[in-house]
Amino acid sequence: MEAIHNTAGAVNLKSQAELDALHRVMNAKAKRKKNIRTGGLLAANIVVAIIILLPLLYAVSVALMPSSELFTMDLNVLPKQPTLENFKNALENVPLLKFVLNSFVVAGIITIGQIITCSMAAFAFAFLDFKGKNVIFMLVMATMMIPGEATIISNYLTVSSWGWLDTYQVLIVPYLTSAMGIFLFRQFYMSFPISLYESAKLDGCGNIKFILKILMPLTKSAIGAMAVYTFINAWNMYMWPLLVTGSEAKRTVQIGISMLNSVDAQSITLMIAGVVIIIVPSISIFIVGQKQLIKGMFSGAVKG
Amino acid sequence: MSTLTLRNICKRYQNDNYAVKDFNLEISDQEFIIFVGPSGCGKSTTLRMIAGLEEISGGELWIDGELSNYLEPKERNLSMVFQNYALYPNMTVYDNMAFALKVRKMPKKQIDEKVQEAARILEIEHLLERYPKALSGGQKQRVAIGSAIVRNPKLFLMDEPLSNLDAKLRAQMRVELSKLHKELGTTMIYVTHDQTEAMTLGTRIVVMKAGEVSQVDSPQVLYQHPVNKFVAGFIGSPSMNFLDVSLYRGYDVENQKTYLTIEDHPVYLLEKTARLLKEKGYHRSKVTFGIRPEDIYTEEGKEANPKLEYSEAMQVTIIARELLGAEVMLYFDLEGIQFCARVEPENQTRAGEKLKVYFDLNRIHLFDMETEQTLNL
Ligand SMILES: Nc1ncnc2c1ncn2[C@@H]1O[C@H](COP(=O)(O)OP(=O)(O)OP(=O)(O)O)[C@@H](O)[C@H]1O
Ligand SMILES: [Mg+2]
Repeated sequence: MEAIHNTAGAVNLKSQAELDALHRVMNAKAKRKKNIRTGGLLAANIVVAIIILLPLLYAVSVALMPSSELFTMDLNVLPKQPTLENFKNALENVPLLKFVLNSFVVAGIITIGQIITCSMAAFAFAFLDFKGKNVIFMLVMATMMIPGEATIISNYLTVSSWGWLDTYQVLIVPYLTSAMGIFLFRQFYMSFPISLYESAKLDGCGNIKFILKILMPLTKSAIGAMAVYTFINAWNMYMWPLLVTGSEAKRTVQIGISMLNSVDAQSITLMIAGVVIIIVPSISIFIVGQKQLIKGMFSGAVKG
Repeated sequence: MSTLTLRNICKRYQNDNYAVKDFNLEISDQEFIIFVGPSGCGKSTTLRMIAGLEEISGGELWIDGELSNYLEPKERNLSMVFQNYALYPNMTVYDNMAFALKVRKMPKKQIDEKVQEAARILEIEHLLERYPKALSGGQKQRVAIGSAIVRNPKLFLMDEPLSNLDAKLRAQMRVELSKLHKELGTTMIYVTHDQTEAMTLGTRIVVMKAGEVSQVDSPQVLYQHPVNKFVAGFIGSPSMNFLDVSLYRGYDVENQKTYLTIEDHPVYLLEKTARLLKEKGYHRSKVTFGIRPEDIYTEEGKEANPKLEYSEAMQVTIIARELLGAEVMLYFDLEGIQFCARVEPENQTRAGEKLKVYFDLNRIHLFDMETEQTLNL
């Protein structure tokens, strides 16, 4: 009893002024600590960001140089006489904008198609019961083990026998689904309690409605990640479009770039300008997608 | 209005043995039916077959006089509350409750009325805007029940809905469920492991064992007149004491009574019990004797209930004593089998002391050793 009184007394002894002073001192200390930590983190982040962005920034800077400036003995990091000539030439030499548009159409449709087909297939594998489910799933997974190069010629022969060469559908249709996507979505769906599905069934909610109203909203993050991944993959496709398209009207941007190369082998600045042009949509998709991704990941966790 | 008839319902999973076999049950309107039984006995399977979540392998399911084996779950118009609540995590409580109605394209205004009404009954009006992850277990449970009642289903199915709750909340929800049943008057089928839930909630209890129905009856009848040893042992906590004994009929020279012996002491059976045994042809044989802990009396207990008919005194040595608040459990051995007696809390007998106990002769149960069927029923 005595001891308790004593300690309580010790605290009470401090006057209001003393207490305020103590608060100030402690607060300043805590603040300083926090500032140092944030500052350190910021500095580290900036350094890492610069290292990562360096090649990209250098590409932009090269694209702005006249080609004479690049082929000198001294190191030119920044253009001395910045010029937009390269961009102009690139756009004039090959129909880059048309290529970008083609790529957008192709990659966009592939992305949407994959999300639809993969989520539906994954739903079937995760929630429905049917004969041979496991065997079919194994088959789907097995397709991931076959390298694309192994089938490209037979695929080419198939589509050419259909007369599909040099069309949009030949670029799109073969990529409308992917085993990888099915696997990814299935893993996500497996973590769902099956009673959620059963409950929806009792509520009178059909399979499609269940996918649209319950599964999709709950797997926003998976869909976001999948969309970014698929879009970039489709955007970067090279072999297949090269093989099946002939005319400039259907070529995608990756092939367009190599056309810049063949037009004038010497002009690296020209090519880099082309690369910078086509990299812009790719990066912006990533930035937009990333935002979507983060939103998707947090929409479940944050109330409201 | 809803009645339910299950006739010879069977369930087999891929050529396996029967998970449920020849399940027969008539459920009339407004009943509160409880399924109990040990784990894996087929309670959930039966419930899911009624809901339409599981295919019925054999037999017929009639809902309101309509053969319903082949109806889609949504066409059966019943609601199910799952053990893990099954709330949609991406929707608010309000939307969760409204979902089934929205799917059925009910007008917005009507939906709102129904949801508000259900929320009022369950006292969750203040939670309507929250998401499921911001709810406690008990609140989630109410929301799940709320989603079930807004649809005015013919039938409520609940699969161990309270098993995730702590004891206190469970007791509270039990009372509310009982209230809810009175208020709504909907027929309910309820699966549980919990004795208390079964005894307090049910109008009738279905005791299952290994996919088959052992007995269907009201809690009182089930408790007092179990049809076999399994039901006798399963219902009641602590469970009934069992002992294999020898039965003698008419060998007592003086009064020609039927008796059985426990540790060489005769326990004379009542006239009606003896007659039943005689009718069934049990003469001089071994049977299983069963008695519930509360039907074993001490001297004081006997004096307090002078109207009952008791066996002769039996001297036992107490091996353990448990104080459970309002009552005391005494443990002792008879022929090497441990018996438990529930006695009045004033009883001060300690472990190691000797005590005279009496059996209530009207409450003893005798079972066939082979078939385990009750003999004195
Ligand atoms: N999908 C399934 N495939 C094969 N066997 C199953 C399946 N579901 C259940 N069973 C079997 O059917 C039997 C009954 O299961 P059920 O889930 O109905 O038991 P329960 O009485 O609900 O048990 P618990 O009290 O543990 O929930 C069990 O033996 C179980 O192994
Ligand atoms: Mg179960």
